[in-house]
Amino acid sequence: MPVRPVASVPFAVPTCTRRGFLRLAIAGGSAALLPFAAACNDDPFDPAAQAFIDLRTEDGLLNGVYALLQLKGELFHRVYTTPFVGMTRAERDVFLDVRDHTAAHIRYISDQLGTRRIYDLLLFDFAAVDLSGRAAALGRARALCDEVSAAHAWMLPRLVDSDTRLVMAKAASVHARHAAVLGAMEQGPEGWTTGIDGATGLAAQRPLADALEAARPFFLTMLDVRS
Amino acid sequence: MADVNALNLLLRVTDLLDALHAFGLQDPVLLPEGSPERVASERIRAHLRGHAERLRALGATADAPAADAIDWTAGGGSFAGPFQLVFFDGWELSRVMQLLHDLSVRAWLGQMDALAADPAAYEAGVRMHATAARYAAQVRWNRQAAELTDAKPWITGAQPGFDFSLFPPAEEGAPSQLDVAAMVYGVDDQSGTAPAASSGEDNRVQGRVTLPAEPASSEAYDEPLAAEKVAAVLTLFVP
Repeated sequence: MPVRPVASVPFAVPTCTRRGFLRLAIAGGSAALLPFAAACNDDPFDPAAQAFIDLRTEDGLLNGVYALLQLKGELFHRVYTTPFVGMTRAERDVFLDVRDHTAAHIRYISDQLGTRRIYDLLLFDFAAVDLSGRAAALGRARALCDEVSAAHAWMLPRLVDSDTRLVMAKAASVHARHAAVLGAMEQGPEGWTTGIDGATGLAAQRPLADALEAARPFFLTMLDVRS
Repeated sequence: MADVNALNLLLRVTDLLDALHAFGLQDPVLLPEGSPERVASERIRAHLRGHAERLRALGATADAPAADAIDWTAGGGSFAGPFQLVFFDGWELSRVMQLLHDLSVRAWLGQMDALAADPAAYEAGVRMHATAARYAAQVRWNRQAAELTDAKPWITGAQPGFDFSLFPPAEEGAPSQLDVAAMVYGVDDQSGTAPAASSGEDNRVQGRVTLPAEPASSEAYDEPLAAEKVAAVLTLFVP
């Protein structure tokens, strides 16, 4: 498959270029209580920042998930720190927990890949999404959880190293829990089934390349994905 | 071919959960009409039947237990186990559901390596496991919404999320609900000095990384449970 053109990456000026999530997630401090900056940090935006992800390799598979998890952590951090009107205490706790679980997953992948990991400080643009509204925030968060869960289900059979595969399966288990709860929060008692084929009871799979493509509008960092 | 013993263990767990939801659905006192718990049970049952069918197609041979042979009190056939209110009390039923769904998640993780020899079985297993994790989260979320527990949709440490002191053993020396929970989650050490590495749900070591002693560190990863430990819990219900 040819290298995906990177020129299509949107370059809208970000409303907030936050880099704190990943930096703190991999720094060795508390993954559970990441002291996220409440406001945008002042790191300069580097328009040349690029992440090459080769999904034909084990490292590439982990890097693909690594990118998605940075986006997930960032989105949940954003909603947690600026909650929509009417967010309940239980819902806010969920956003906090999902953010911190994601940080713990990032810590593992970061350690596994070491210097082979992609550009650490991916930048995100949520300007097109009104996260201040309940429906939009929950809908976006649920969709991303479904996406991450389905991407794990596609990736796991492709991992060769059995130790890595087990740890990623343990994380995938919790990503599936996240998706169920976000579905219930968004859609009510049957919302937890959004990522399940009702006829077979099998959870969805989605190729990582497709998941990254769907997430592309939210990345300011250029993603060069090869599959 | 995938390991038949692994497939059979997973089928036994799946069939037991199917029977548990059938048991609850037959009595509107346990699962009231229109309640979120009943809606969840109906959907879960439909999926579980699909899972059982798939596991049998992959080579599982275990027979489903007869409904009247299942001891929902977890008494190992005595019908005098620690969950004796399960026949009358939806709250008690929801505790059993939480324990068995979390057991299911751990059972799947414990057998994934055994399924790996058969790519089709492994891929199906990954997808059934993800669904199983959703069930567990939804059951816990419903319990939290009904204010039956402080338990989150994910497992914190090796704690079940409800106070077992309210549920003493029926008889002195008999197993308590706490004992059953310890079999499912591992033995929780709340002294603050527990080692980071654990075979229980309180494990905080992933690969070379030791995560900090914070609740989210263990919540972030479900942990596998060895086949014999899963079987020991199953035997409480299907002797």
